[in-house]
Amino acid sequence: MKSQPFFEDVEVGIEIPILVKKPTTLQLVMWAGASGDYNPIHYDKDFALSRGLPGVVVHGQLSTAFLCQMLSDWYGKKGNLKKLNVSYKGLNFPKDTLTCRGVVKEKLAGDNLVTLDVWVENQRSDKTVVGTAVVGLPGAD
Amino acid sequence: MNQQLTIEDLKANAGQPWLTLTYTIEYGMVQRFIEAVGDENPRWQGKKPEAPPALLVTIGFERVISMLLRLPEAVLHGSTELECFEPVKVGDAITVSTRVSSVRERLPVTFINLELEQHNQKGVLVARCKQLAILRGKA
Repeated sequence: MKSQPFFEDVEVGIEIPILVKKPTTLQLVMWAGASGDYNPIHYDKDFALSRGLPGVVVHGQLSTAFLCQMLSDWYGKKGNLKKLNVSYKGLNFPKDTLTCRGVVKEKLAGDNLVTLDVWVENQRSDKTVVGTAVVGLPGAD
Repeated sequence: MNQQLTIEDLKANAGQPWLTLTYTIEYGMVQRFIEAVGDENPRWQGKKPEAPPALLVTIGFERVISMLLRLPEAVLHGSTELECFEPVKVGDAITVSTRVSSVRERLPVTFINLELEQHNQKGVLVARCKQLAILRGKA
């Protein structure tokens, strides 16, 4: 396990550890089952093509779950996600290499809250999901 | 709103309560979820684990999506906002209240803003979620 970050130790501008994901069509089917989102654009290539898409696409919310995983891997056992706000700016596809990133943007002392810019970028460095997150961190004492 | 959903129905009922659904957070539900994501954080495992926050953006929304998929337009996802107020654990019963907050048309595209509030079995607001669904018709 990674070490627990404390509010006092976090500096504005630091990048938290990245998370790399390579979604497969199997993962999209598993996500459909787990999330209940059976939109055929995520598993039926012909349907996706008929809707003007270049092929099946990764669920936006699966990308959001990847971002949440990156955040919880960082904020640890004693931290918490308070807020996450993301926009889906581009499509992700199976076999893409998706890198989740987060940079500390602001600290709010008193409540021990940290705001981060978060995003998912593909292997072409296109930011396909962008947003902000607010997490609560434990104090050092 | 009836089962034969139309965009006009959504517009006419904007701001009104829509679906209200109750889910028991089951161990298997959480495990299927983290397996699908590939998230091995021990916080979501063990005897009575927490539900990962990302699970909260899916519960209730899947019924909304299944309703929207009855429309002829392609359904895409525009944005997601999640606020977490209290942790949710296996065994909790979460009631999700859904509402179409607004419908905006810029044909052939329709933007549907949805709000979902989640209360636990004690009536405590545990999470609030806003989703933007984009319906894309044929030009």
